Amino acid sequence: MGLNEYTIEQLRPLLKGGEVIPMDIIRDLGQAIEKDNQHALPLNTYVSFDIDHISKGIASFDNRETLLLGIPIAVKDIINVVGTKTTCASKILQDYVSPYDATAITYLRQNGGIPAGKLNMDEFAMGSTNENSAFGVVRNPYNREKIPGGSSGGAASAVAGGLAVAALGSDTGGSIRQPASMCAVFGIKPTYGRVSRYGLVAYASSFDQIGPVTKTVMDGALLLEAISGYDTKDSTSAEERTPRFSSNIGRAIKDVRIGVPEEYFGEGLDEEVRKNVEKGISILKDAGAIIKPIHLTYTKYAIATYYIIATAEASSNLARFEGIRYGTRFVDTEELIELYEENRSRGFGDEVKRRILLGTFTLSSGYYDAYYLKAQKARTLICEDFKGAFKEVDIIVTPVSPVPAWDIGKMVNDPLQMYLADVYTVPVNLAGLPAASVNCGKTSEGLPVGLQIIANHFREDEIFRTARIVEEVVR
Amino acid sequence: MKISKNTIRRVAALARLKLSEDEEKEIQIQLAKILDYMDILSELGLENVSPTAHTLGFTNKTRKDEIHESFAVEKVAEIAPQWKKDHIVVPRIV
Repeated sequence: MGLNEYTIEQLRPLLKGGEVIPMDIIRDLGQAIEKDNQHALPLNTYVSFDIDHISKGIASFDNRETLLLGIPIAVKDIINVVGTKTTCASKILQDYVSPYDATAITYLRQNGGIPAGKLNMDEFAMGSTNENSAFGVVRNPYNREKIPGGSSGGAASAVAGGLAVAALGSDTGGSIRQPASMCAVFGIKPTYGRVSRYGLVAYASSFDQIGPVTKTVMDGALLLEAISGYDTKDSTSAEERTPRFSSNIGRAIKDVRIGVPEEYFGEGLDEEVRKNVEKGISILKDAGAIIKPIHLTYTKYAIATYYIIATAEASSNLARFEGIRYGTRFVDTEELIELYEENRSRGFGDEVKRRILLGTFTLSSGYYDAYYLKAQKARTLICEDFKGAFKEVDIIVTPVSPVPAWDIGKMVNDPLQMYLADVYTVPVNLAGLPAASVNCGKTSEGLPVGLQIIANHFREDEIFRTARIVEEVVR
Repeated sequence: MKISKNTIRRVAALARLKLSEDEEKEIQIQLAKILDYMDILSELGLENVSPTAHTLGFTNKTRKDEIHESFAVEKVAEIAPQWKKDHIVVPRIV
């Protein structure tokens, strides 16, 4: 087994004892990526994996007392790493080289992590399939004809396929949890504000969060410890202490109250997904948790609420890409407005354009009250739904995706259908809660199914110990 | 919801996007379908509900008005697709 297949937890003692050095892991990763590129259907998880650049990062590394001890961590290509390209899988940023590190990367380095390679994704994190990348589709290691999920599809596929030890993704409406579910890896979206957004290219600022995509729950806890913390450069960063998440793993869940919302098990939920999720819930029950049926009555309004707010924020955030200050200028024109239009139209892909147009429409004069304001009010109701639920329970468990990974190309022409598949993940972002996906089984076709574990604000510790119980049994 | 071609053109102009004839047609159909679905929110009684922009009730954070180190001008200029003598090149605007 190459070192690329190891977990953070397994590598730490080896690095500490000096039996392995960071460069050994990089070498094995490089070989695994190279080998996968020879496959008839490569996973295509990386936009770039520059061994020379990564080696330079390692050369200056000599600290055996840090949390991550020089372990390479792959990074979704929407997070800035100094001196490397940050393309957001978009043509408009194909030549953009970051002049700085995102704060999550600064903290990662301080804790001994080495940013290693930039991962493929849906363009600007817009998509649930990884088909919207300017650098080609990413494939699912469990079945290469299927999508890996998205938008952090490169992260989930690389970690599942042994092409990364662990990865950092980002989650705006499910972009960590849904691909983690489809690729049988662990992925957690932290509480909004837990991890600084400085240096994460903004899609929808009131939802975006960086989070770990890992092989195990323990790795997720270690990596989240490494990147969390207050940051003066992000005005929405929370002044919260970072707990030792890893020390919660292995703690019992006896008498923990777990809510199962009826609204998440209705029409549209695939039978095999349901069975696996129910199996996950029974594991928690067997471990002594108290399972309580609950209601989240506004769930059916979440998709509309989310897509109105997210696209409105996106239309504003993506206004900065105009071929002037950064990015690629495809054409020069005599006239300024024409320059914007020509470059934006050439630089953005279809889904990004669609979301910008939708967001521009709902914010435009005459429609603001009917869409944007209404959605912000509906958001209040969805937040209150969760607030009420967390008075009765400590944890909420649900499916992550109503269906397992589908065939590449199946939904490309039906954006609304694709949006609707985010029904179980977006409410969490609307409420700013932390939530994870842990594998709870596979369908008869061998496709992974994730269990979503949601906790109250800043209670990621509850998620880790609960997820670990499921992981121990399902493995 | 019916969306006219003019509305699509107006929105595209606001978004600084140039759409081909085919793109206009496609977007017209897709936006109508998506916006029809969004109408589900009309079922909700929202008169007395206040809007939420941020979930954790953050307030503005200010810092002292002190000079901090920032990016060097050359560094910023280098990122721009076209630059000359520490300045970003744009078409003539006045």
